[in-house]
Amino acid sequence: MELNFKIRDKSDKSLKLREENLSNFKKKGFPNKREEDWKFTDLEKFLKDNFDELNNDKLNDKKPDFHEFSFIHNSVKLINGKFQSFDFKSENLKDKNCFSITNLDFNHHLNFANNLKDNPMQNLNTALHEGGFNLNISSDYKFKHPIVIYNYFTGNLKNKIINYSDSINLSKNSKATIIEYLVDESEGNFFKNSFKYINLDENSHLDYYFINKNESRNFFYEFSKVQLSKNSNFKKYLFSSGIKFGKFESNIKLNGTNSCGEVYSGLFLDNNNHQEVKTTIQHLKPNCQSHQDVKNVITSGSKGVFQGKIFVEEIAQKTNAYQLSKGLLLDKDSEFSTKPELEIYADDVRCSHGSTSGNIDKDALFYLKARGIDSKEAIKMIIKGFLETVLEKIKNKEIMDILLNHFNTHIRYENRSN
Amino acid sequence: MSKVIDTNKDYKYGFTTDIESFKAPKGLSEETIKFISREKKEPKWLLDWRLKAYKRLKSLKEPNWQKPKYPKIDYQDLYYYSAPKSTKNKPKSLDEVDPKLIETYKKLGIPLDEQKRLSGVAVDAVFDSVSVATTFKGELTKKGIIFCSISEAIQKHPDLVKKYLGSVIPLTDHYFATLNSAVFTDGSFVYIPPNVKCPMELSTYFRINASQTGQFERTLIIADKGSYVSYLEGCTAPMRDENQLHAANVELVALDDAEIKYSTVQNWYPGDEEGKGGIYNFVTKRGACRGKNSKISWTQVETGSAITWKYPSCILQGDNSVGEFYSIAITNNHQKADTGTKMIHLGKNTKSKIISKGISAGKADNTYRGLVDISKKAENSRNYTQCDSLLMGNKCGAHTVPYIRNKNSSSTIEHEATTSKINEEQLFYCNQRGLNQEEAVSLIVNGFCKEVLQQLPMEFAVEAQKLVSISLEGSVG
Repeated sequence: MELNFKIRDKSDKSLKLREENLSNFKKKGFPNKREEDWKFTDLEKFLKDNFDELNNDKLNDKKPDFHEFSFIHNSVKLINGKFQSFDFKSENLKDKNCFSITNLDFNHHLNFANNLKDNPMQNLNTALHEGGFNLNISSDYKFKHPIVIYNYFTGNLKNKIINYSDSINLSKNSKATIIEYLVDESEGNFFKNSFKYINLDENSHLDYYFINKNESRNFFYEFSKVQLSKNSNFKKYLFSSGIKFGKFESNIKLNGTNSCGEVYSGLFLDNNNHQEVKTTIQHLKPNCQSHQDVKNVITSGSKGVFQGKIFVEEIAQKTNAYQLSKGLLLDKDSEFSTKPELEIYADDVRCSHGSTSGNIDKDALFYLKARGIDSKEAIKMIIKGFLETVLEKIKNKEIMDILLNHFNTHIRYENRSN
Repeated sequence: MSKVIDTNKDYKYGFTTDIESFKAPKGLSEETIKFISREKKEPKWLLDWRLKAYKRLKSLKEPNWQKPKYPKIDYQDLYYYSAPKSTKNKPKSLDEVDPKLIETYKKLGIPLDEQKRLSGVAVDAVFDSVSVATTFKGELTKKGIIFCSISEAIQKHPDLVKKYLGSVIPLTDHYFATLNSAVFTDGSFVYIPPNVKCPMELSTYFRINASQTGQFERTLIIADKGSYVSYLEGCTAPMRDENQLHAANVELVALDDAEIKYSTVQNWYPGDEEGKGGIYNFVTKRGACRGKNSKISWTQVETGSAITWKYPSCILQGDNSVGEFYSIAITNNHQKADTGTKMIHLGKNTKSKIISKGISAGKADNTYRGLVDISKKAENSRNYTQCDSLLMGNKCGAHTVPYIRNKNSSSTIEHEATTSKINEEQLFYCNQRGLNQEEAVSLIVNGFCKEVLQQLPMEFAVEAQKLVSISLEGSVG
């Protein structure tokens, strides 16, 4: 695989930093299975097997037709990772200072990137960084409607590598629901390497949904770094079914007392897909809570991976952390690998994890069949029931509809011949 | 609750016996290996085997992925062979055994005399690296059971040794296993012939005695078709300031319908309160369920050693084979334990069960690290894993690092782990009923460990239970 990475940003200030990062990346290369964090997902091999070349040449962005949801919402539009436009009219704002959204420039990116220096993916991201958005929500502002980020990939992206980063900041007492809606209409294979920096100030509240629309034969890597202050609350929902290759890492730092971080994911992996959900939840202050629930249904040669770590610092007493990962394997060629990890240095805590994997429960199947439901329908019901448990906490009806629709698109068990 | 658990204060096995030791020259080299081999009058194939391991060792690096880090070991500064001199003229009976040795064993509570027959334990006592006395041979021989030191087995049963030695832990394994293959000095050998149930529990007591001696035991247990054996291993070591390396290899082979039960109580010198001294326990234990319906069960109670680093594993090759792992690991002061198991499912309908209980106090670190791997062909396999950790005080750590891979859709894996401290309500309940804090903690911890303790054979269970309580003495709520 040929790597043709060129630094195009020649401004005095950034060139040196970018070059440094690129050389750091080149020293290590793409991570492979010998590295603990990539044990179950050999990125180097995946890229080698699927790309003859990777380059960061200028993209010929083709403006797509944005299909917007019909319910009332605010919107942000991205094309190939780059910030295009926003529309927050539905909030009916009198005070324009409630929020700001701009293109994320390189200097701003550096504010975050510096503390991940040893990560080759971060090095690469910084070296070739281009755009992303920067959303800032002012204190005491609570969004009335969800913000949908239409994240479109269009045009001919053959052999392209796309590096960008986004930043979301919630000031004191603010609240928002964000839906990142991924639509891949591109031609040719590309690899996306993006970083997300999320900061929650005191008493703020963010629900973040990642939902993929259609089938994508592309390669997505995303690293989210989330920082929580006192009494703040962060929920992440990940629904990336349909993507050929995905690794979604979340590093959540509970850095204030009474903060709470949650991760939910329900994936249906089909067609030799390979997806990994990786979480690190760091309990750094007392009285924090975390909850994780990751469900994978795996079929047709797909591989599901979950690596989850709960870390509890010495002073983080009264921690309550829970983690559950479940894999449902539907056929011979599917595989589920997990590494649910606990690293605990405080004694007055309640930390537990559970992990299971196996086939469909024969008793459940028998129960449904005995009630006149044919086998395929029964299996589909069980699969849906299995995945939909992660939706339990969602109260917003519109989001629920999008998610049920997402499941209907991607769970296609009835089409099978066997 | 502030708890200081003091295991050392009552380390009653902390003494050294003055017996003249016979040592190989210091350092690791081909000469040392040849010296060991010559001293033990080994056949050429074994020397070649050792040298092959040594050659491979030179290309290996010490692993560094484990959680407990340790100071660099200078392998050239160790003695690789040390035999109590008095065994140069082998004793014919117990009377001829060095009285000091017998005394040592008595202090350890090993019944090397008639009591043993009553308790039904045959002991193959390893003092440093050479087997000194083996008892109950007659009774075992009648059944065709071979229970002797591995050096003796090499002389008397070379075919068996040649066939199985290194078949579970090959020469090409990791650093410490390969080191052991190159320089192992002695250990136990057990062979149970087809359809024989071993009438008693076989047992070996180890003692690390001579200063600066790395111990490289090699144990090989073979259970032929339809046989059964229960093997006990108990360890105590004298007080020492210097760190002592212990890199043993234990290989188990179970053929069709055979069952091996391997129990360990490990109470080696853990180092003092400042974390000075103590044994490095880097042991490779692995069992292969080669035959159909075979079963291997590991039970361990780990309370000693400065650093414990071991993963007794089962390779479930035969269809319907079963692997079990029951473990209690107690760490205190600066002790560090990184222990767990590997269950590798290869055959159909294989089952495995893992129960691990970790207790961490003082400034100790306790890690469960395990692998459950169900391969594509292991249809209808099943695993159940439970690892619980108990923390006492906020200077210690408890960690769980399981790796779980399921590549077969007809197989099921269940894993759960919890970490918590002693329940205040339970403590209160016990206090209310007149138990003091210490008794209450001891009771609760013994309850916490019960699932594992009850797997131990009678004699061991009592000792283990005592050990658990001793470890908790001095802890104040």
